[in-house]
This record gives sequence, C-alpha cells and structure tokens, in this order.
Amino acid sequence: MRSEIKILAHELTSPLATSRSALAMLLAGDLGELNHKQREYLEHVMQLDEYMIGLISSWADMERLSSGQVVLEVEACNVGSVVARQKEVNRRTQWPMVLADPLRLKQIIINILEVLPRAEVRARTIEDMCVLTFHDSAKSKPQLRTSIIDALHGDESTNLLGLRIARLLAEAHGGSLEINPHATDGTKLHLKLPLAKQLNLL
Amino acid sequence: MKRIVIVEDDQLLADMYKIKFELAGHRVDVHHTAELALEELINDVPDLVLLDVLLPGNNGLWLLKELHANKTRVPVIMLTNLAEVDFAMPTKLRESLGVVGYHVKTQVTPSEVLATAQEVLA
Repeated sequence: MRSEIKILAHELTSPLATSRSALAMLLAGDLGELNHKQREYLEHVMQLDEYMIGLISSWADMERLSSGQVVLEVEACNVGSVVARQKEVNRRTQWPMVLADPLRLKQIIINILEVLPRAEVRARTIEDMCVLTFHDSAKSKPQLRTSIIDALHGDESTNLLGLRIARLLAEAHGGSLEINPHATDGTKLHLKLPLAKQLNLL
Repeated sequence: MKRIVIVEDDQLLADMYKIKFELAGHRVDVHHTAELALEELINDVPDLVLLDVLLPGNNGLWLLKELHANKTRVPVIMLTNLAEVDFAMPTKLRESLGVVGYHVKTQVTPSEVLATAQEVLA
C-alpha cells in the first residue's frame, strides 16, 4: 500500500477512534447517567462512527490488495477456533488446521459472517484443501444472492466490499471463495484454504 | 491501587483513559510526548504504561528502545490507530521490549483497554 494512503487511513481513523472512545464512556455511564433519549441518540452516533471506521478499513484493505502489497505471515491455524470466536459452533466437530495468516483468516471469516450472520459453518477436506461451507438456510433472498455474486466477481460498485476483500484474501492464500450456484436450500459460500499439512513443503 | 503512565498525544483520549483508570482506583500520570515521558519512566517506574505508537517527535518505539537501553523494565500496552497489519511487531522484539498488549484504538473502548490492563496488573 502506498505510504500516503496508509497515512491518510491513519489520519481519517484517529478522530473516529477518539469519538468512539468518548461515546463508549458516555454509554458506559462513566460520566454520569443518561436518559433514554440521550442513550438512543448516542448509540445511533456510535453505529455511524463504526460504519465509517469499517469503510476506511475496507478501503485501505482494497488498496493493499490492489497494489499487491499484502504480506501474509502464514502458520498452521485451527480454523475452528477462529470460527468459534465469531459464532456458536458444534464443539465435537473436527476442524482441520489450515495454512493461513491468523489476522487475515480472522478477517476473512468475519467478512463472510457479516454477509451471512446466521450461516451454519461446516468443514471438510478435499485433497490438500480445507473447504469451509457457510450455509444460510433462510428462504432464497434473490437480491442478496445477486449482491454476493457481484461482490465475488469483482464488481467495483458492490456494496459488499468486505466479501470482495475476503475473496481476494482467500486467493492470496492460494485458496478461493465462491458461491454455490446450484444451492436450492438457501445460500452457500465455499471458502477453500490450503491445509496446514503443506507447511513442511514451504 | 497501581500507578499507570499514559503516553498519548491526543489530549481528549488521554483524558478519557485517565478518568477510566482513576474510576477503577488507579493513580494516573499523562504525558503527551515520548521525550517528556522518558525521564519520569526511568526515575519512577510505574506498574504499567499505556503507550501510543505515533507521537509528535520521537515515537513510541523510540521510547521502548530507550527504556530498554536504560534497563527500565515495565509492562507496556501499545495503542495505535495503525491497522493491525501495518504494525506487525515480531514476537521476540515485543517481548524483549516489555510489550504485553496491543490495541488498535478504533477497535477497543476504554473499558476494554482497562480490562486488558487489569489482567496485566493482577
């Protein structure tokens, strides 16, 4: 990423970090009790603040990915523990170890679950790859499905920038992120990442 | 009661952390530059330092290295607005400089920073 963009991202997020902290303290009651209306307004402003922080972060990530300056520090990661930090999972599931940058793996999972928050997550292995399936069994949502396809296909105007970033990050790991075009029982996304057993080949 | 030193150039943010830690029963001193913090940290070592990375003049890493050179050992929680991926600090370097925690300021609230600090101080 160009250094001026890194600096710009830092300068844009700095005041937002300060306002977010101030809002958090007000909402925690650290500076006195709030009435119902005050709390409602502040919570709304907090959401706007977090939305802006998310946008800047996504934009900076896109810049990193577009300029090929994503440096991955890969190691063996338990994909199950990453998923479990974001949502309830079946603890008896045997989760494979994948070869990934832990920070980026977390980002990929979070970005996918932001689009499909109610998705059930399952893992299987195919040859040297781990395939994580995110399955939202809710009735078909054609508009969401179209938006997901647009994002995964690199549509510049996508409103699901996080999903596009997740796909690019998966590819940077030697994997992929695709929608299952044949799913008739809701929406299914397949995230493929290399299994960690390849680690000794590096 | 523990003694905390906050090195943060954003005065409002420093003030908020000060209030948060004082409400939790700690004594807090604030510095807005690394240079001003250095002398106090060497002469009167606190229980914990909250250290911003980007500061006017010398930055937080400079301060860490100066403390290390002066054999001042103090646990440090780093705070920054740099994205996590832009501030990758090798584990060995982090441990050798006393860094026990790291937070991206846009991703934490003062309550969460306090919680990390309480774990370190426990």
